[in-house]
Amino acid sequence: MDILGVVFSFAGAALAAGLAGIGSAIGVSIAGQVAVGLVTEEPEKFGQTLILQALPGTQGIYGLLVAFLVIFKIGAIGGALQPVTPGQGLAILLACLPIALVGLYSAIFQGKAAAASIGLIAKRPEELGKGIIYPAFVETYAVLALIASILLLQGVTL
Amino acid sequence: MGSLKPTTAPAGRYIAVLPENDIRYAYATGRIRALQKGLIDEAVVRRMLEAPTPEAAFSIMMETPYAAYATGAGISDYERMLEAGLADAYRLIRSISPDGTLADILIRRYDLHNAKIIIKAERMGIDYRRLMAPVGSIDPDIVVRAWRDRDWRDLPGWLGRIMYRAALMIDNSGDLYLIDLMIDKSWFDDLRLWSEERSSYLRSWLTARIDTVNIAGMLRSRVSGWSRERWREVFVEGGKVSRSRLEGLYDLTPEQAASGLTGTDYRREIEEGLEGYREHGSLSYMEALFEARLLEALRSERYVTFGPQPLLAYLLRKEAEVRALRTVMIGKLNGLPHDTIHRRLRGFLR
Repeated sequence: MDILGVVFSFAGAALAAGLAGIGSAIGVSIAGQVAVGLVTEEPEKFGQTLILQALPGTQGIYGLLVAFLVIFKIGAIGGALQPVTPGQGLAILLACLPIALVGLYSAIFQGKAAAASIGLIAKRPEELGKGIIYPAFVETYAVLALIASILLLQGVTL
Repeated sequence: MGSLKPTTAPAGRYIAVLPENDIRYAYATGRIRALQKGLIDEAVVRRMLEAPTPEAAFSIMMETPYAAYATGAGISDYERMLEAGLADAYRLIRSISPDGTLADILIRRYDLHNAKIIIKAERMGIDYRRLMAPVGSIDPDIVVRAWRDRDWRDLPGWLGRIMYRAALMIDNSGDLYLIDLMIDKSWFDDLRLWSEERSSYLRSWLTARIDTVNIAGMLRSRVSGWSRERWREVFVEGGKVSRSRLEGLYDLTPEQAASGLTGTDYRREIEEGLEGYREHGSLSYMEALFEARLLEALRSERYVTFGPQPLLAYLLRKEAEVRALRTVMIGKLNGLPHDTIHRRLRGFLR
């Protein structure tokens, strides 16, 4: 078995879960800090702000999903590791990059958008729907990157 | 958080907001967004203005968050309530701001006010206590002791230096007015240095503030017939309207001088204020318009998701609110005509 192909594959899975997860952690933290400030004054807004804070968390899930797809594809679970050539491994690594990179940055920017929406909720709590829509648009690009990563992974045959 | 590059906020109408989003202010900004709803809006001030009696105006004030500071003493309580509300706002900003100097630098104005009172009180032999601002960060007794003993070791360095200069001026000329000016200017200097390092938002606001102070100061000194030399003492450095430009207009009549300034950023306020001057012979309307302009300039903070701007705007807006409520109450208690109070409120009522 060519270990380099497996290493590339593991690197792809690690980047997808790692970078997207880091982005989500930062995004959720940004929105969370603003939310805590608001809830300090108005505890009744906990539920509304929680929804907004959770929005940047999805990129981490997408990254983990792609990492699982890679793990199952190469049979890393269950002891039946597939032979992976360096070329195939590199292809898997590249397939992971869309969700890794877009997940990282979109989560941070979605966190900022969510923080701005929390500012909206502070003044107009009845506008929660609009407040969710604006940061949700950022999500579009994370979803597109997820689809791209999945399609690219599908294109790699072992 | 190196990867979090600041985002560019749209320029406000009067102040260009440079990228200043600062994640350290996320919590504080969230809290301020909630507190902004507690700021008094124009409608409340208008209702107080329309109230038939001072008592009726006070009862409207009791519907605002300031009611929390009432002691039951009735209308005589209003000034203390306003001061307590402002002091609380400063305490809050200081406690939630990741950069404590933000509130400290603004609060210095009150410490400097107290210092001026202490210097005058010693000279005139009056009791300084009832004239103290409630917001200062330094115990006035410490300042009194330092001034009496001419020993600045217990004072913060910045105040010690100012008091030392004041002591020298007392020994040399003894002109309290010049000491007042020196102390006032020191606040502008401190704020300018602080904002140049940390906040383009505050720097832009300060530039507008200095310009309006200088323009109004020049026109006032012309109306009062001051000499050019005396006016030069009043001029504050750091604005966009230069000393030479104002000085070039100094020999003209106040109206001609004002007309000569319509090419500045403050054309609308100057032209409108000039009409008020022709009508009432007073520059207070123009000054109120300048204040309105400064308040308007603060609004660009709404484009900032998190940063020091919302905190600064909250404090400055709170100060404007306290001034407006005080203006109404003083006007009502002294039986001033509705129009006179309204004119003085032009800075708050758009």
